[in-house]
Amino acid sequence: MHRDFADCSSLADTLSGQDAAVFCLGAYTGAVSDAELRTITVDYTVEFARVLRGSSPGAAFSFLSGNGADPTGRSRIPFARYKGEAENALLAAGFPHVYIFRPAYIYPVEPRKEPNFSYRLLRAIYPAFRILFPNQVIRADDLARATVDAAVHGTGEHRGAVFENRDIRAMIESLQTPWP
Amino acid sequence: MTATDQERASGQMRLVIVGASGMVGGYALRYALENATVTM
Repeated sequence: MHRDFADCSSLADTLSGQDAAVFCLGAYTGAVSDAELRTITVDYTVEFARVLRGSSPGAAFSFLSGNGADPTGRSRIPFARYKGEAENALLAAGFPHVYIFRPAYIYPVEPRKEPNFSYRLLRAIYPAFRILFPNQVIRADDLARATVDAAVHGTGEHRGAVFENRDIRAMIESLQTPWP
Repeated sequence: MTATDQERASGQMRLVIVGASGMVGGYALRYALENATVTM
């Protein structure tokens, strides 16, 4: 297990010959400082992509971004700016296929310690929320399937594809492989 | 023929998952391991 994503150079050999990558590393807003949030969201992504691109230039890349990600950098929300910055870096990295996923609320499916009050609230109202706002929620396992399937099988989309929550839900419905 | 060549010849793909100890990454790992065409 690699622990220092500030420097992924030592992964160069391990990452050679890869066909695809799914990048789900991240942190919740409020769980870390703003500086740490940017480091984890942007710097770690860029560093991993740098080494992967050098070792496996033909790899497809699925990136777990987030709803509201702002590639223009104008958002007042740090999470949105940082995810947008990471997206821009990946799209410019030179991979043949980059699939960017922007889920809204990710339903945890299995019990967990929620990171903050908002998540506790969303979990509590999820049964009603998903009916009232189906395009604002996605199950964590469904989202995972979509990221893996896109990276492994492609999506038929153009070189750099951005999937909003609605698109991810449509992708899930079209997947042929059932959840085990 | 290298291990990678053998995997590709048999239709397998090599996939790396970053953040597999997290919620979505964990499901991605489980899903990939159940997918016979993927080598981790």
